[in-house]
Amino acid sequence: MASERFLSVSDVSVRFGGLAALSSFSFDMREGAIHGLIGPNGAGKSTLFNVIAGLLQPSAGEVFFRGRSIQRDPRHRRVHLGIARTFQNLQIFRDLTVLENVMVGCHSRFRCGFWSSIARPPHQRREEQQIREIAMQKLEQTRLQSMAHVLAGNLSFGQAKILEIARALAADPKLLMLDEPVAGVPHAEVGHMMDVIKGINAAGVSVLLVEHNMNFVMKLCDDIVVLNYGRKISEGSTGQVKADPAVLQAYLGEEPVDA
Amino acid sequence: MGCYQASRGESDARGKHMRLLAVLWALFLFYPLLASNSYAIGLGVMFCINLMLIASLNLIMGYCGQISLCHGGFFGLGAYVSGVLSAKYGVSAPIGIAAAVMLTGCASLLIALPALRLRGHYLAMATLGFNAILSVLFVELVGLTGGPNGLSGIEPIVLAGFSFDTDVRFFYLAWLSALVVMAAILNLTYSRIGRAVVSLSGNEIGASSLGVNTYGLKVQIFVVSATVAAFSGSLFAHFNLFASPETFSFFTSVLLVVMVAVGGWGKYWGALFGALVFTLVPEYLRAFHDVELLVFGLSMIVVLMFFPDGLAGMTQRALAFARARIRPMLSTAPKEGPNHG
Amino acid sequence: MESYTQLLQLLVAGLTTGSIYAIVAVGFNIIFKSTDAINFAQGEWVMMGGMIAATAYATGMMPLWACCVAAVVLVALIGGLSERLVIRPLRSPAALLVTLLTIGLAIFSKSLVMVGLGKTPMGYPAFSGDSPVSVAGMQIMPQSFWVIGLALAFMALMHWFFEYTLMGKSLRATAVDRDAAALAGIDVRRTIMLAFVLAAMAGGVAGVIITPLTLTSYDHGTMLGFKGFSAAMLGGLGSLQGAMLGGLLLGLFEALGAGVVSSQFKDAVSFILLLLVLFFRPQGLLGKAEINKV
Repeated sequence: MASERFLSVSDVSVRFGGLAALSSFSFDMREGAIHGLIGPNGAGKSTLFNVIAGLLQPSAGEVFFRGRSIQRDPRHRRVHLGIARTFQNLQIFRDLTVLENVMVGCHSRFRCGFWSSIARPPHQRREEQQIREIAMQKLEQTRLQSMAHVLAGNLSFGQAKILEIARALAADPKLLMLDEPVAGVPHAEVGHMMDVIKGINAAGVSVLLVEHNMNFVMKLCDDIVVLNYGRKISEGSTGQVKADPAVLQAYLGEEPVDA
Repeated sequence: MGCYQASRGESDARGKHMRLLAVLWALFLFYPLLASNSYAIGLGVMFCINLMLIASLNLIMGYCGQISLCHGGFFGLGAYVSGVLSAKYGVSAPIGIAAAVMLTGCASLLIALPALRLRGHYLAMATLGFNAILSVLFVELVGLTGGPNGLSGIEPIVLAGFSFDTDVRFFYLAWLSALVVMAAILNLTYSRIGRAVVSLSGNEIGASSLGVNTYGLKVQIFVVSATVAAFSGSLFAHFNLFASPETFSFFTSVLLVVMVAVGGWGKYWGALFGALVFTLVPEYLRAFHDVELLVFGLSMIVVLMFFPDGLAGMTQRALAFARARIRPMLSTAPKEGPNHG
Repeated sequence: MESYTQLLQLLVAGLTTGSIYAIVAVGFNIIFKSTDAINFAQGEWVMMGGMIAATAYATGMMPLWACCVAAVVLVALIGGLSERLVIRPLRSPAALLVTLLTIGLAIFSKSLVMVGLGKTPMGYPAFSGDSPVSVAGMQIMPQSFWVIGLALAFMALMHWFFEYTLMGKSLRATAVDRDAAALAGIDVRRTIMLAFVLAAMAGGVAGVIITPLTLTSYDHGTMLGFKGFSAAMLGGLGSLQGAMLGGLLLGLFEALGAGVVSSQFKDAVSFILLLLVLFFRPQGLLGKAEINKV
């Protein structure tokens, strides 16, 4: 049953005017896996990603997360439900330090409101201390702790990508959605990123990622779903998808008549 | 637009700013002794009132990245509600002030709820419209507000038998109010809510994707800033014992925006510089009153083009420069550096 | 029959002021479309149109029509100069920043006029005489015809410009997608300068044609600018036809409001309308419903 799966996208369609970015798309993800979302350019991966994250409303269909429909939940509510994401084009807060960026990630987990923030009673101070500790711990987990007090705007691209992950982790998500985690990252750092993601998954966080780097996806992911022209063309474990001729065809085009 | 970058590298930036605030205010305590006459003390009162006005506007402009063009209007609403209750209905000031603050809070909520749902400049336009309507009301409801000639007969504040009817007494009331507001804003900035506000001004999508309710927060900040403006207005009314509509026009709102920008948009100490400019420049240009606006307009342009951090940013950079020069000379002094962890 | 004539008279008055609002609204639209910013100097440009024409006329050296043309040209130049000196040097012309800069420009120009030309209201005679013309029982000032007629002519000119000239089309392209326009070889920065010149010209025209009816002074522009802006919002920011419609409707509402309710609350009418539009139909009457909800 769709609603019992960890993440279930059910018959989702997204139309921009006359263009169908996604057509009746369905797929499931199991808990604890690293799930890859791949497809040629323009296949609809970002659209699907944004529908699950709440940036885009589908024209039809529904998304279920851990047994309930999250369709009507605005994106900040989805974080409370356990979904956190990073951005391909980076949405770091350049005017805050690295540590403060990650501290914002903790936002959904704490409650001290306006008046406590102004008056700073002991429970608010304790909360601040906790936030700081969690943030520092995430930075250590992603090996960024030495940059804690650097302004996020001054980080390199690769470091900023890791900051986004640390920040999303601070929200203590059940599902971490990574939007092209190694796009634009220098070759030498790709391996490090893979280790970071494996570590996160080992700690119990399910990962859904969109990527173009085939090597990266094949090595890292347990399961894969492939899209083209807004439709699913393959789904299954990495081994199964690797061998699927439909996938090859989508990426390389029609096979020549005389091979 | 940004948040006092130089000091954020330290792990206790809040403490540093708070200590500076305490020192400045302790010194400021002695102002009435140094002031040469009652008029000068009055300037001190106006400085405190302007500081609260500009600091609260900076909350929306600098930290939320939205322009509010109704700050003068909320200032006026606070003044008139409290003033009218006092002058026409004999309501005691503390109750009048509370009423003024609550009424303005509600009014600002009514504007903010629809206007902040939309991206972009809609808040600016809605607040502009609202201020214009308020101005018309202040002038036309002659029976209540005294019309274009203003409202007189406002009673001074009496609290537990103590009457704040002299300049010096009122100065200390204003001094305390400004201190509370500045300390509150400082605490807010370095808290979970404050970080969320700064994050949403930098990057709304990023902030909401981390669980920040950007819409709710913006509405909250707007209402808070409006109520602080109303509070300042009430103080203004009970100090001058008079209120006139032209003080609260949309032009005042525009000028307040200029002061936020000139002082340092989004910078904590920007409000201090903005208030200094707003209070003192008209005094110095008293003889050349017409030139005053010219100066404001020109400084707005110059600041936005060349010194986007305003006077606060310029001072910060000057201090950092001086510190960099002095440090090698004091090479035996322990090095100050960012704390880790 | 009496009240019928009165009503028609009000309508004509509304159409007259409405034409001015429409021109001002067009000016706002042009700059909004190319920079995403609200131009607070628009009203001051209207004021300057009238003031410069009146000052020139007072010297007695030029015939009226020459003063008016000179004023429009001068204001257009001022608009272009403002862009060149203040907006162009910006490294990152974010909409908020440009809006704030136009506030600075507005205050600066207003006070410059105040210091330079004084505070006394100025005016000059109507284009074809001051004696009211009798039409269907109404007494209409001939200047009203000039205002409505010239406004229509201006709209037609703008329409022709944006639809049929290369410059106009590049402006529209830049407004839709700055990067794509740049890739297509359009000089985006120069197009923004053009936008400012056109908007200032619109302001100048409005100021020049309305002054015989209302007189003008240094602070005349601010309110006019805001009302023109309300008109632009009413019609739908970004739509030229919307600007025209919004301006005329606003003028009519105001005139009716003054006649039916009271002239004191007349100013409030346009702002209440603005708020209503913002809250119930933020894209305006003719704008597209593409306002991003946060």
